[in-house]
Amino acid sequence: MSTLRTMISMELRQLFFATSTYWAGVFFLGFMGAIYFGILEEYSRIEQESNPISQFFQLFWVPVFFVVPLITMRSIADERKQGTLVATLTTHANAWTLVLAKFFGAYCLYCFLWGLTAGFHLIVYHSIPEAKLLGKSSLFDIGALIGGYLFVVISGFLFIAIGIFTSSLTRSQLVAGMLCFTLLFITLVGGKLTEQINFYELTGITWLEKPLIFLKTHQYLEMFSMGLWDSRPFIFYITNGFLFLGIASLVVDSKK
Amino acid sequence: MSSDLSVLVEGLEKRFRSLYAIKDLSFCLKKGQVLGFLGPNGAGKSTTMRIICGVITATKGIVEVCGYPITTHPQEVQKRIGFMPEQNPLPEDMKVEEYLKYRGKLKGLSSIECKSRVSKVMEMCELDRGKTPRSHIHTLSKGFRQRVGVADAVLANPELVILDEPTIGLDPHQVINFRNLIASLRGEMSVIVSSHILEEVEKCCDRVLIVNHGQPIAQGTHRELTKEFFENQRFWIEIKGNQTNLPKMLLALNLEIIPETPLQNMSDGFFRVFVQSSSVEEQRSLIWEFFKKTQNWDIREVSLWQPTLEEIFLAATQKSWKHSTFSKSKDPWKIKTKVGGKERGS
Repeated sequence: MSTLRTMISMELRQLFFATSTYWAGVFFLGFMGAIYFGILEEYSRIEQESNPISQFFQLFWVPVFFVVPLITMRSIADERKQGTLVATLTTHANAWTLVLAKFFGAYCLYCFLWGLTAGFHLIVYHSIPEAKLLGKSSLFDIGALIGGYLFVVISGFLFIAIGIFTSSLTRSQLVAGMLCFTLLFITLVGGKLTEQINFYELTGITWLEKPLIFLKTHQYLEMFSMGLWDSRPFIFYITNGFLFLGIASLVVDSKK
Repeated sequence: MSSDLSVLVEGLEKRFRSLYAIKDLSFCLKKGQVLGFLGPNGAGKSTTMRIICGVITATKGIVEVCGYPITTHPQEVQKRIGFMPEQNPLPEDMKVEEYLKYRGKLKGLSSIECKSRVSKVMEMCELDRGKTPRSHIHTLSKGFRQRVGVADAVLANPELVILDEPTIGLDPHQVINFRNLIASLRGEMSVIVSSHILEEVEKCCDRVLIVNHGQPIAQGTHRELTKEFFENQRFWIEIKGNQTNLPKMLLALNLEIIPETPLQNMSDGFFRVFVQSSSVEEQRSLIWEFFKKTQNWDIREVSLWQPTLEEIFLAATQKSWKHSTFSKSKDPWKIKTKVGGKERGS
């Protein structure tokens, strides 16, 4: 346990000093700020069905595509490229500890970056008097805010695990990043896409519909935004996250 | 396993698909000894070291470190080993002291222990001078990087230190410092050093293990290896007399001239000749007396020739190549090795 703690703190330290972290941070906050600004502007012009916070979280997947690869692609791929992986694995640390440490380091950064976006909502709450009004179309719906962040934190578990897994597959950060993007695309868009193009009926593989129903990330987000907390997405994201981490540790063990 | 052994390797085999990296490798290392691991490129040195450290697994065979088998007690083994891999990979963006503290914690040292051990190994490896402790690793020279690697290997006071090519890229001063460092570890820790610099191994190791094509071809102390590969004693003699009668004279002493080395004439009429004896007994005094007493002959020096490790290495590898070519049709891997003084065949 102390080995894991030491490794996580080192990971956080390295992420704190890495230039790519700041690039990811600036890009993420700038992009999310622009999205939020656009939503507010649209909200001020035309009456909307849902509140700005719900709309903001509806677009959570856009930054996920590049922020997750950016903060995870370096983790194991770079260690393998430098050759420091072997040196680490001759200490008390094993492949599982190493993967967990890399995961928690990146996961903390991911949650921290999303946490910073809370500043947008707080600025709106304090600077616009109408934001304090309650109601379904309020500028500051606390239920949607908590639900949205909770979803981001839970779904992030799987997304970061995917990033760590792809980073364990190769020595090249670029290849790891591209692999991560592809897998995230399948996870985030695949569910919705299969529904829209009637994939199961067209291909005749209807038996796949039930297992893949859990890929419908957007449905979960809507549920969370409405304050409906279901145990299924928890189980889906956490178990699949651990599955990817487990495979990543096997890959690290076999390629050291 | 005997309690005075740090490492016991028996019948070790590592296969990468159909290619044998190591085949039937056996050796042992007593506590406090320094073992030099020699062999040409691709001989299987690094693979063996990585197996002992538990980084990769063997296809077959037994590896025990301080009595713990690597297959069943990998954690116990890793606690007792300090390893510096080939090329000595280090995280470029960390500072020297910070890196060693981190490694100390990973190796299970408490904060207080870690602090004292880090300052001790930094002093031992001369990393405590000037700005070095606070320098980023990417700014260090090759020599200093090697020192960081050695400091890391001995950091947790392990019972066994394994250094893979530690002297690569070091200048002569640094090589001497490294030799002194190894000398300071002798008796305290068991050390396995692989190197291409035979002179280094000769100077700092108690025993030598020579491998070729993944097989042990010789092992023992310098004296034992000399006996094994140069059965006949060889002498340099400085004499004066009629050179045409020399073969006859030498024959009387059971000596013969080594054909590859011609006579070396000197300005004062003396000449140097390199001879080998078929007798196993010490013959220096006999040669001296013989030439002193013989008319028209004079002698002023007779010295016993000691092969360097380089010569032993060349003789051993040549012998192994001849052996493998000769016996290819039967069993190219068949070789006899000694484990703990006991001869065994595979």
